[in-house]
Amino acid sequence: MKLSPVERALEIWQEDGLLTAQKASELRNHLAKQKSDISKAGAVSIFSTIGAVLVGLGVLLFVASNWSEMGPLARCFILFLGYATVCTGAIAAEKHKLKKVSDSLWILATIMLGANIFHLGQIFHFSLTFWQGPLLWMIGTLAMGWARQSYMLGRLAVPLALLALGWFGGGSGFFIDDQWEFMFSERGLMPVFPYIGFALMSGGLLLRHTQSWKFIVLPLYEWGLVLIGLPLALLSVHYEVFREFSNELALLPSWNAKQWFCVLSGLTLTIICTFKDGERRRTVYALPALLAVTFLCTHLASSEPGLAYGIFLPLMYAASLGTVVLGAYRNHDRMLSLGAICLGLIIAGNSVWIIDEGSRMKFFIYSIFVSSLISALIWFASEKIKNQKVVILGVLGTMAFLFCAYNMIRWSGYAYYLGTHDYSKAPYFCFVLWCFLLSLGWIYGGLHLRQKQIVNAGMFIVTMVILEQYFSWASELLDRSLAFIVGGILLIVLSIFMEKKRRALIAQLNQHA
Amino acid sequence: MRNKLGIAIGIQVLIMILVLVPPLVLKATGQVVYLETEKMDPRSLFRGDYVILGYTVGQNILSDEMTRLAQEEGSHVYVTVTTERPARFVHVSLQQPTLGPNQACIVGRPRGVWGGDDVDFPQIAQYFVPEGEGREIESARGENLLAKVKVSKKCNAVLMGLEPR
Repeated sequence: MKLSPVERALEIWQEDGLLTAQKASELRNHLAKQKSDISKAGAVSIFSTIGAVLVGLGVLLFVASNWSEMGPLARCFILFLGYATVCTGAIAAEKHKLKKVSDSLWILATIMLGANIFHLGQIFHFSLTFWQGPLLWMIGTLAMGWARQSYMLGRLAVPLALLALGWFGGGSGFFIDDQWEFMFSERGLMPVFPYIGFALMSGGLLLRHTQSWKFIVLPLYEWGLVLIGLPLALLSVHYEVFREFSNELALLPSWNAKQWFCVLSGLTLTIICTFKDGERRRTVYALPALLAVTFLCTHLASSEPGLAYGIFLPLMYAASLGTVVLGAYRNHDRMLSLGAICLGLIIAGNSVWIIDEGSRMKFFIYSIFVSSLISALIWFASEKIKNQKVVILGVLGTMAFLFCAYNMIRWSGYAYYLGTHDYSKAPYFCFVLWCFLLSLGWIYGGLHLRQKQIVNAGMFIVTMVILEQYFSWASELLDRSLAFIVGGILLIVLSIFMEKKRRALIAQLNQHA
Repeated sequence: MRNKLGIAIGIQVLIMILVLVPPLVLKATGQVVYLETEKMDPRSLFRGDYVILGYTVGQNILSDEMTRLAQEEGSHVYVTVTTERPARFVHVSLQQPTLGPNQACIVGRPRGVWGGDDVDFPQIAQYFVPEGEGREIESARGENLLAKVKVSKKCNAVLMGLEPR
């Protein structure tokens, strides 16, 4: 069994006589308590962030739908006032040492910046022709991310950059299709996502030694991995999907300057990092190296998609498995996570088609069986092996599987929200309930095992289930802007409550210590 | 940290002012042009309901060669119109035109990605309305609904409002 670095250190110190068994045990217990605190703080962070996002969206919709009676100057004043209020609240929260709340409010201020950019455009019926808006928002997000060293703002800045880049050169203002052209049109980014992924990861590597831009390094890795791994995993879910997308890739000779820019800059940055960086053995290169082979296959696929798919699918399985193994071996959580998610997507995607397409009940039973089996394995692994990596792998695999199954069931015809379709509602309802209970079980198990990753994974699924159901139901029953605002406020209140609860628990523990 | 935060807030406020200034300047200094509207469609990803506006002065005015050049190079087209009410089409070019008396110009793009001889005017293509009212205005569009637009000498435009003919 592989011991954690802390356990190994404690063992060595005991062997060398530097530490008694009793002192080692005390240190172990103290560390476990700290880990438990971190797990609860993670929950506060998640709910506060989602709350901030919801309030931001609510404000965005509320203003859009309820200010028709105001003049342009009054509207501008309200937008600036809203922004100033949130900034003041963030400063006040920081003064009262409510760091999590303060962080959330700074994120909200940056979301309000985005809302204000588009609303100022709206006041003057000014379209910003799509790309300028996200670009300006991204600049403001980067500025605040740099000031706060906030990973969350780094994570927001990257997709905004992708939107601005995707919309650049387009945006004729003609019809809704223009809004998706950043991805799906002839001049869209979809065929070149993996290359952009290379560029992002390389950019992260180049920036990782600069102190001021450290906040963007992790988001660049994460988005890079996602842009490389997920398109490939999605391509592999079914032959028809693969064929359709390979037709897109067959347009390679007619790519425009923007697409070639993405490809060439991605490859150039990757090459620079690989040969100039001096740390080319870093595990972060293993994933691009593995997946690059499969991506090349997709480019070759256009002539004979049948044969290419036959090669592509096993390669994708091998690449995902290899990524998981390398991630675990190299102690690289994100690589392991992405590999597990890719693997989950491929298994779930292929499972859907392996089972008779017409029999949703079969698929429902199958998905419950598989997720239960994986969950049982997690518990077995966590109890018997005590290997955190195995547990994380299991949780992420199950999470990916459940997420896919959940949406596959939805797409395959069951009601997105109960009550509007003629399909049987009982299996869908049971499945939602099952996801919810399983996730609660994870949170409980994570607290019991004192592993924050499990708690976070459980909270992620719980949050997804609640949000999907909330928006399905509440947006039907309430005015849309009101639904967003109420949901956001509820989440922020919940996060404050959890923060207080956490402090009370710590105080209680300290008293007993 | 406080200095950095001040800089970040400053940049964010500056960005909002930056968005605010060009349409305000254009509103204050631009020349008024009234354009006949044509039918299109509503919705914005970020901003709720809007009415997409096309204009009759932009219909059937591009040659195949001009469409091809504009799309290949991703360049704008410049449509010259008269300043009478409603405006009449005068000329279309790939370069910014020299304007005669009682003339104004608006920057545009060939419509859609499939070519065609129509021009869209992205800067004045979206008219934002309270949620749910988009369809009403949509049905009123056409020759009886004029768009009041202010344009600069550099052919930039801002939409002031919609009026009956």
